[in-house]
Amino acid sequence: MRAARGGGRRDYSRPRGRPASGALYFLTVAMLPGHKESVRHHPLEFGIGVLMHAGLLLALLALTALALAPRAGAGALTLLAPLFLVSLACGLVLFVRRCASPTLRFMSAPDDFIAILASCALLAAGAAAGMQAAWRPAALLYAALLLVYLPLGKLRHAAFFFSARTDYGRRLGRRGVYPPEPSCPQSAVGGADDGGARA
Amino acid sequence: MMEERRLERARRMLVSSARGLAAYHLNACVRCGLCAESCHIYLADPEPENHPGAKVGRVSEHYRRYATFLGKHLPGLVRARELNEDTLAQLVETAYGRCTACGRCGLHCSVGLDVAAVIRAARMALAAAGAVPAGLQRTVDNQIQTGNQMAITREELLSTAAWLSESLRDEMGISGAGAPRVEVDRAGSRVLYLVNPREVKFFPLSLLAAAGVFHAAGESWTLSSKAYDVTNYGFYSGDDEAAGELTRRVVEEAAALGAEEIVLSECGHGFRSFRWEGPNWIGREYPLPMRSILELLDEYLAGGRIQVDPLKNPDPVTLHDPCNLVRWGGVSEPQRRVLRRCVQDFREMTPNRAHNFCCGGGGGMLSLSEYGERRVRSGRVKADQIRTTGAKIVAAPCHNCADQLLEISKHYKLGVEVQAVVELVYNALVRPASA
Repeated sequence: MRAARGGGRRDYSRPRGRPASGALYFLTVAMLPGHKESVRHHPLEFGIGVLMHAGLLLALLALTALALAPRAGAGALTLLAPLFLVSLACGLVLFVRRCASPTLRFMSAPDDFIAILASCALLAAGAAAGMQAAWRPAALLYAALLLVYLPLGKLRHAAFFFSARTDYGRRLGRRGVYPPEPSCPQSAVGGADDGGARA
Repeated sequence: MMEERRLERARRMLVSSARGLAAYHLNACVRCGLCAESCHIYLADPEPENHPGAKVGRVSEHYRRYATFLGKHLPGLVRARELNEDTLAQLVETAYGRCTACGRCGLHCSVGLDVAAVIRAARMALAAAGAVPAGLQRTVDNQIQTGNQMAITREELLSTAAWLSESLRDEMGISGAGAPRVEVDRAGSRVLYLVNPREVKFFPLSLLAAAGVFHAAGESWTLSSKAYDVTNYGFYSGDDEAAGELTRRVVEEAAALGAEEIVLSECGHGFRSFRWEGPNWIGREYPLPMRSILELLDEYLAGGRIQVDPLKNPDPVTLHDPCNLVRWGGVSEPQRRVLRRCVQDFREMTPNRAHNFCCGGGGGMLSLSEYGERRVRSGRVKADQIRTTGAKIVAAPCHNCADQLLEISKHYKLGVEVQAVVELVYNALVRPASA
């Protein structure tokens, strides 16, 4: 919320564009593969990441529903259990990727590995709770514990993702960088050919 | 004891700057590693320390140590590190030597992390600790003490203005009262024009060209001998106090001369500093508008105030997009409209505009000789882009970029000329005498 209001700081520069338009563009169009090189160069990793995060979000929602409206929550968990298993597999792939890549290992803290495993455990708990009612209390307890850990470590990016992107997008919007002028061609972002720029 | 006080100042500055907007970005990196190919330095030198994620990590590990619960109590878990003499040296290397704060990785980051804001938070902490590399600090000191980064005296400026005026009169074939002049300290001029001291000292052609175009457009303009430097190295070093002081001087001088508008010469970081950061450094809105000369040239051409003939620039021309002007400044189309009118064969690099690659000379790198080899290596990506266009001329609307482009042209044997946009406009002018 603070990011959406400009970080609580007044910007004295004369605006060229609209901060809200920049934020909206940066939170939507700018994230599409055609506009984001990291996605274009790493479609597999990106897809795996999206699947894992989608599973996590739905697992949290379904477990919250289970706590508030047990019948509806149980139904959602049963329905979503196969997706949780797919998301779990994606999470494990990301864990292996982090272990296998020397560059990622160089950048990572123990918390980075714990965060993936903790997320995988939530997906496993969600899947187990969807398949067998006996697992539901344990899944609820685990989700509650995870929510306590969430603001402390890397998992806090769940909230900071939105504030970072909103803040950055607002500044780009104010300066007229985003959204780009309608005359700006697609080739501006590189597309299939990024000028030969690969390591 | 002295060292500990310096370090404590750095720690406090890092935490306090991170309480602002940088906090979102310091907390958001997931170290996914997908931004690697968006960084020109990593592409040229793919060592782990050059990875944008690693650079953010180098800054955020200190932030975590002093500003987060786990960082304070379980530092090993989140890799939070003390800021001490050893780690301070590593932070200097990362913040000044491995990143030009061009911001390209941020646009392509999975999360949307403003990596440049994180790097600037580190630079602010290092500036507070007096740990800015000597070459960069000397440039800041020059600006504060003499009013310009190259310590050019007023006499030198006036002498350059005089001989440029003479050259211009000869070139344009106009003499007498209406002859073109490089005006200095002329009160009541509509435009206060700021230039890069490099134009005064080493490369006066762009100043001569601007004066010629202003004359052709019938513009009322002047330089100020007190505040003519468009650069602001306090922005690069992380010293907001110095950056604000340089901004204040320009705004006050414009008021003293009665100017109606401040126009900034072709300088990427100068444009960003004065146009977007300056009002926040001095804590108030400017009393008069400010824009880049590229926007003014576009207006002259669109309004018919100057006439140009593109046949006078027959060689293929490509355009370099300075990061601070385009990705951070929002000026991407005026220079394109200008070039399409002034040159016969305009060719885009790919990618371009906000997604352009940094030339490698940004972020104050040109003042840091200790990182010179890395800077030239990191220019490889830009060199490849230029070569692919087949252009003979690179229009570079930034004097820092122009210096780097000249160097990489030589190093990578590109065989291209580097010119300011205003030089190409001046060359294409249908001059009143010959019209």
